[in-house]
Amino acid sequence: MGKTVLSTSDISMRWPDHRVELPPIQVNAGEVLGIMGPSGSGKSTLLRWLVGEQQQFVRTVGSIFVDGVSVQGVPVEQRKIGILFQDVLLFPHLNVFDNLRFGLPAAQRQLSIAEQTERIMEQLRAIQMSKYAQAAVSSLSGGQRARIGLLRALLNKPRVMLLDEPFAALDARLRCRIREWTYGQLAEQQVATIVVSHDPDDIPANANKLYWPEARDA
Amino acid sequence: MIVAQLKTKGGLALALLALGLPLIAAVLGLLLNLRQLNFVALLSYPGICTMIWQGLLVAIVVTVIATLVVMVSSYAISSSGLRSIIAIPNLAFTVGILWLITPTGWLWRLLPGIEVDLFDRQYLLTFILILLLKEIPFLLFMSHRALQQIPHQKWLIIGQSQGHSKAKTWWLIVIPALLKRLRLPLMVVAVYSFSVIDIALLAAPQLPSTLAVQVFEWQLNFTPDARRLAYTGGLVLLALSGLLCLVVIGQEYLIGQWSRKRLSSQVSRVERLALKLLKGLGALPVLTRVFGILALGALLAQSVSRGWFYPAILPADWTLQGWLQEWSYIWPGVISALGIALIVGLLSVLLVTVLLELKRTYHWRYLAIWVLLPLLVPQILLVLSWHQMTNYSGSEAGYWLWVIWSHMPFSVAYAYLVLAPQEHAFDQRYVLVGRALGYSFWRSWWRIKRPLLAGPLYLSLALAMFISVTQYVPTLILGGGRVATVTTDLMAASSGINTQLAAIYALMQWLLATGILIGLTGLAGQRGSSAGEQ
Amino acid sequence: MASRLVPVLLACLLILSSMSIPAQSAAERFEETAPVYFYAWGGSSEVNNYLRWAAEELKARDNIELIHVKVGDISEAVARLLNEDRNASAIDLLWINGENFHALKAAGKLLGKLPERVENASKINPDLNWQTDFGVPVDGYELPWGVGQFHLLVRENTLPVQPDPAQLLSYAQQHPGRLSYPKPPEFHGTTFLKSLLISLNNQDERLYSSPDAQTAKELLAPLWRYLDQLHPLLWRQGRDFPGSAVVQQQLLANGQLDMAVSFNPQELTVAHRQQRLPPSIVATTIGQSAITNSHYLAVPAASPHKDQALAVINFLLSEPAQRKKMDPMGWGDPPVIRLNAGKHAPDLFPAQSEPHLDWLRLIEQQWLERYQR
Repeated sequence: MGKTVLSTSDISMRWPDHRVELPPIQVNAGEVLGIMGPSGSGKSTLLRWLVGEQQQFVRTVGSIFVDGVSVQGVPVEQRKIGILFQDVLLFPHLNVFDNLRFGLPAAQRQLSIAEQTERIMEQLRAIQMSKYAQAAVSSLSGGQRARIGLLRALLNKPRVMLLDEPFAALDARLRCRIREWTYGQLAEQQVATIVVSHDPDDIPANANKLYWPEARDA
Repeated sequence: MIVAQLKTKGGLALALLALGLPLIAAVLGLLLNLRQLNFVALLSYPGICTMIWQGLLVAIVVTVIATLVVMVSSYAISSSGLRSIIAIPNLAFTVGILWLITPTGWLWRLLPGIEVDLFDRQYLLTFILILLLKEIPFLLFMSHRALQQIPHQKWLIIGQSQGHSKAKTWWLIVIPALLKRLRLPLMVVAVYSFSVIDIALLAAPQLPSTLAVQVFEWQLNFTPDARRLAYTGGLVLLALSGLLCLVVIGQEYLIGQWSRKRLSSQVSRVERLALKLLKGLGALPVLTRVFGILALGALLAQSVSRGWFYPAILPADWTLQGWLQEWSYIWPGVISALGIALIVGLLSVLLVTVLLELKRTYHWRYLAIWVLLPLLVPQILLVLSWHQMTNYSGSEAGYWLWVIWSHMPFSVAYAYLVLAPQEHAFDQRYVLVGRALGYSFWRSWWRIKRPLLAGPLYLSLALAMFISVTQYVPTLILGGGRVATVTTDLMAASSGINTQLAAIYALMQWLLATGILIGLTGLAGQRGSSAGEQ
Repeated sequence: MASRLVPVLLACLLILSSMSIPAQSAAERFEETAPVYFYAWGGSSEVNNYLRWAAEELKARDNIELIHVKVGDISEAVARLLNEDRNASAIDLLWINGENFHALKAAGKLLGKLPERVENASKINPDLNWQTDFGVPVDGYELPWGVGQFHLLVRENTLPVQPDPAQLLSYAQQHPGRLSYPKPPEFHGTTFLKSLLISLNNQDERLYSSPDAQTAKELLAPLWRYLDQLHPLLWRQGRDFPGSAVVQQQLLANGQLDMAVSFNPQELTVAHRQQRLPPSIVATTIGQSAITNSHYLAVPAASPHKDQALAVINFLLSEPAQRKKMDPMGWGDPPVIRLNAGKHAPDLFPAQSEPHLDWLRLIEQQWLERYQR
């Protein structure tokens, strides 16, 4: 059991006509919290707020701590929280290699190109995708995209990963494999993970689970 | 945290300063002159009613026909050839077209025996035709950009898969969505047609002319009476411009209502016939292209010919003398125009970019109205109130700065018109992902959003520069004569009888404008090929 | 005889001295190059070229940088000047006359006592009726630069030579739709009306002073009666008029009209040389004489370069500059100074003075009230 990496308290989300109060959340290193609930209930909004972005029409307040330090007011880029969407959002103007290079943490961006290349190719080899380094992202299959997307996020060495319906775009056969691989990687790197999904299968069996609370009147 | 806030605050302040000041200056200028209002004098001025209805009629007819044309032909016609036509300066275009289509025009000389005096000088019909030829390319261009923002191909397939014809799906599903996105460009077309001066001076009836021309003439008169008339007339112009914006919304509403009704019921036979007839309007975009090229040809021919009278098909003499004589005097104006346009264009795109990001952050809802306001206010009114506020005279650099400042509102407006819809459609989560990977907001913007929006960014830069190149009144009045551009040279040359001189400067202005538009949009096409897909 | 000879000899000496010493005496040459922003209509390549020549001369002689600020309509510059505060103007020199001058003079925007400040003002031809500009006293606030004469450009073998109003009317009756005039308040159009007014009232003296209501009514009545008859016989039955003299000339060139108007006495020469008008066009006047006015140079009181501007005027009024200006291969504008030696000034039409400015305003206003609906 790792130590607590992400914790929140008193989160309240206010829409024009209703509000949701969330129970405190705690996620330990290498563990997963699954949040389940119907689509459109505000799960994605929560993730985007956690990563540091306020949304229009939803006013979210509350406290977030990463490794025990409040990140209130800390800009997105300094929170060490990564996010992965269902559609992965690889940058279409960059090839696979450059997408991964973009994900290197600030310290490693100073390294020589040769060293950067070495690190990235190593990761690509580990998932048997080294021959795709120069490929355009539009030429990748759904499964390949998902893997590159996670790789890019993990290269950045985040403390927390937020997964927003990460497997919804994949077909059933692939989905199983990618899911296993993804959680394996996250556990290995001791990342605290929150995954939101409307599909219970997407949440690992050993994960803590949170059911999205009922909305109340504003 | 505090630094970030300061940064956004700084951006906010900068944006307000750059954008707000000209408008605040204009509003103050208007308010300071409120006591000058004199509606009685205005309404008893000879011919005022005709001026107003004439102006409104032209604006409404042009807007409605241009809307119909866009609805009929947006799907089929590509906008690739339109840029060079958008780039033809108004005045040059008007002169060229008149030289072609008036009863003694060159077109009819090719067809002896056929007399067409439908499109003489100073006819309402001619005026409308020229405005249409000028506005349709602009609108088609905007509609192509708008269509890229809606998945109309998918909609057409869905419609057909549910047993509706392609045409019906187009009219009932795509068109309402398209028109909604064209609302602002259509307003610009309506107000422009209502307040245009240079085209009206040559093509519109003069007894009386349109209200805009009359206000312009009052402005150039300096008796106290004329000043009062100018301010009152300017305000009426402003109010009626507002009315025309409502007409655009009304038109959109009516078409929307019609298509909603027809979704569930059959399209009647009459409507079917009307739609078929409308198809004929699809020829207009082709015509604009043909006329654009012909007008250019006419200018080119006029710049190298002498003694070309009706009914001669060819001139008595070809000569390069005009070009040779003016050659060395043309360039300073071209270079200053380009320099100013470059600065104005870059600043405009920068400002629009910052504004759009602030709009996302602070959810400003009425930004568009503010930014486009300079296009919806008669220009001469704005410029004279700016001059009154600034009242600058001093070092030469100062005049250049004021000219740049005075071009900004117009360039910003057009840059916004092009960039805003594309920016709006941009998936901002890309920037969020970039930030989550440890890049600051503007670094993410620069490395991700900028390349993905390269096409629209270049295009808005091109349009902003083009608009700067074509500014006459602000350059003249605020430049204090220190700033001579190819456009001020052209306006001076056009005021004389020497059509050769005017044609030479018009061609140079056109070359500069087209060079900018084609060069930058070419870059946009290369760099921004991936921008559309998401 | 002797009294006439002395100034001629003096002038010859002056010319000789200015020819032998290309630069003026050191005292007159400015130490530092200073610009003079000269706001002048820029619609004629002949005028533009003339000013380019003048700029080169002034640079060499006086170390002055003459910058021609080309405007489409000088009232744009006047609007700016009236809008400026009194400290410093962007304008150093203006080419104006008539209403524009009157507005600036009335607003106190112009530098006075020009005849005393400009040496060559003494050479101005006293026969030239330049002391009043559209009936308004010049009072030293502007100096004449050249001469304009209002005349007709007519297709040969159509209108009679020097047509009077009655002949114009009878031609219009025989050939409806072939005549017109620029729409007032465009100044060519109003001048056409002033010509008619003068002819119809047989050069009544009262036209040269500000009228009272009764006089105005009495003298304008024949004009309106005449126009009521004429208009239905004009181009487009008088329901519209050419927007400018330029448009009218184009209609003439392409055979849609038999008549156009001009203020430049050399217009026809230049137009034929540039082949802007067919060779079959000739110049003539309405009645026996042409409304003649001067166009002037004036200096804004707030100009930061007054001395240089005055030196420019002085140069433009010098014999070489005035000679160059009248060259029909160039601008061809008649001189305002008395020329002594060499080629004579081009022939002018017999001159007819401008009516007082108030008549212009009355014509403009009442014309609009009667015909613009």
